[in-house]
Amino acid sequence: MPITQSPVIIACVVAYLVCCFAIGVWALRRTRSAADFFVAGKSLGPVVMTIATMASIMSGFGFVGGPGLVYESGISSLWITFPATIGFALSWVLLGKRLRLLAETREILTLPDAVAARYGGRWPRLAMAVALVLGVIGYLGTQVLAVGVVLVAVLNVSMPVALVIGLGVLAFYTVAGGILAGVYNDLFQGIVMMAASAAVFFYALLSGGGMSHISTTLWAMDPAFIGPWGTRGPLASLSWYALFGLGWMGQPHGITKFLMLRDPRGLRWGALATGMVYMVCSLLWMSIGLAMRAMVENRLQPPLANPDLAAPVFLMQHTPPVVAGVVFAGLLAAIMSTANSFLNIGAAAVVRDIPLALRGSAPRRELRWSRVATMVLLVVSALFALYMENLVALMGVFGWGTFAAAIVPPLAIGLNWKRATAPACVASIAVSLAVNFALELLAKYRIYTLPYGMNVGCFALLVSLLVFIAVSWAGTRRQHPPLPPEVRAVMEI
Amino acid sequence: MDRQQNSDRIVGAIFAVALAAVLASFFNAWLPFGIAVCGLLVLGLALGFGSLRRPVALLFAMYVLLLAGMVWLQDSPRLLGGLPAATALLVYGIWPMPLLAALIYALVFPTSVLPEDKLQAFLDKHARR
Repeated sequence: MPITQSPVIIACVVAYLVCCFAIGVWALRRTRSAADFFVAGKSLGPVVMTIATMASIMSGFGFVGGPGLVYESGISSLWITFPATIGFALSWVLLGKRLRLLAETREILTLPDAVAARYGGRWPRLAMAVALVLGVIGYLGTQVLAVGVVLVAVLNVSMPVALVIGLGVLAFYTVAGGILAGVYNDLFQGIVMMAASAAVFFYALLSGGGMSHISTTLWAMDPAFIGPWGTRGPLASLSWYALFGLGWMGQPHGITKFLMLRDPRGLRWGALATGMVYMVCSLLWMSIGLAMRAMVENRLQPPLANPDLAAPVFLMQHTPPVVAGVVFAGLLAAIMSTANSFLNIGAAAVVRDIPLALRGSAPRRELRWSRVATMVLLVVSALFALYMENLVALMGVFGWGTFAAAIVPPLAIGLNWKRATAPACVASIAVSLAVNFALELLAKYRIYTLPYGMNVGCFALLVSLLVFIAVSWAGTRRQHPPLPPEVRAVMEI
Repeated sequence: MDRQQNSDRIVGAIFAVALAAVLASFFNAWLPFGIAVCGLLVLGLALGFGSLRRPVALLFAMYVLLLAGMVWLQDSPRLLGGLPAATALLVYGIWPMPLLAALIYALVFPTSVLPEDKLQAFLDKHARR
């Protein structure tokens, strides 16, 4: 990433970090129990939940990788961000009410808690917790690395110093204030992201000479680039639509927000509001890549050495410093809000879910151990990002796919279909992890890739769905423990 | 048909459509794959909504029409709203269209999704004290 020398940009980013720190101090006084730490004491109103959900889902990839992918592959990339509208609708319709009402009947602080309530026994909880830990490590590593890269560019410091500054602020507000600090930071960060996206969309159209001019230029360059499937082709684009549409229901940093809602009635407008807010943020994703590519074609901009430079170069060269400063703060916001959610979920899996599955009880002083686990996870992921960059990139690739394939069948289908069984839950999670890891590794070492650009995560999700349903059907003749009355009621209301 | 049978049928359909999607992906049959993907998304909504069949069927019909339109127009350089026609169907059609499902969810929330009397009865009987 190029390095900025603008004092305005530096001031915006420093002001943003100070705000995050202040929210952490505020939340520290309000976090007194594990329930406060993991689900904000079920205290969120619908507006906070809406913006916090969007902010935690829109990660650094949306602000850097997304525009870069548009610059490289054209419209193909939009099939990653456009499914959010159907993804939010599906999540609210299939999961919102069920998860939130389940949390009324017993102590549900995490997704493995929900799985244990639905299926009983220790294995479904353990399988879900392991899937979460594996996914979190990959996702967290990439977010940590991204924090470092942005701060190196803005503050002109070395990578270790950048990590100490960025992760220091993140560690403070996550360890001290738990998810309460996280969601109110998400609220603040989400507002910054929306403002940044709207401003960038305006400047991108201005710099590119208007949407029609951009389209005409890109059509002359390569009709496939600006065509509906982009240069990656229809199957790749459609498999992204499937993965990111269905897979939204499997993103723990999004769907755990249902457990934090104060009142189940607050679900009503959430899908619509979150979808619209996310669309605003996607404008940045869409516009920068197209405008930059058109400017390169019109020789208004030299070609980029790396597609991921599309967003930072555009901001530094084609927007006023104040706008660039707000967007850089928005970029940090996108990264840190996602990282905070993953830290919280990872800590919960390590401190609560795995001990509950193995020993039948969570440790005493759960809040204290959760803070320790959060700190340890952050340090490990920082070391991981510094010294194992290749592995981080590999694990980051299958973060979304791992979550989607492991979580969608047992929760989204399982909470709406009474014939789903515990063995099917465990089998689908195991198969999803195995398929994802195996295919990603085979592709990485060029041994085998799925044909025609089919996405690995999408394939794993489809296979996981098939296994979940088939194993449930196969087990319907066997005796399974009856559903607890309150879980049955949650599924019937 | 009771609720259990209804969800059994929808899950059966999800299985068949997911299998079709996997098979289509190996033969680069991207249009059937795309229709299967839309089918999966809409079947998911049907499983959650339970009784609201017409809006869900309408959403599927709109998905298929938009996909067909994109295929039909993909070589046309004509601009619609500043974008090539087929891309415009994606950006102005497929992208915002699912907000309709979210709008329906919000509109039927007090009557079908979570009626106040049912919620109150549920809380009275099952809520943790």
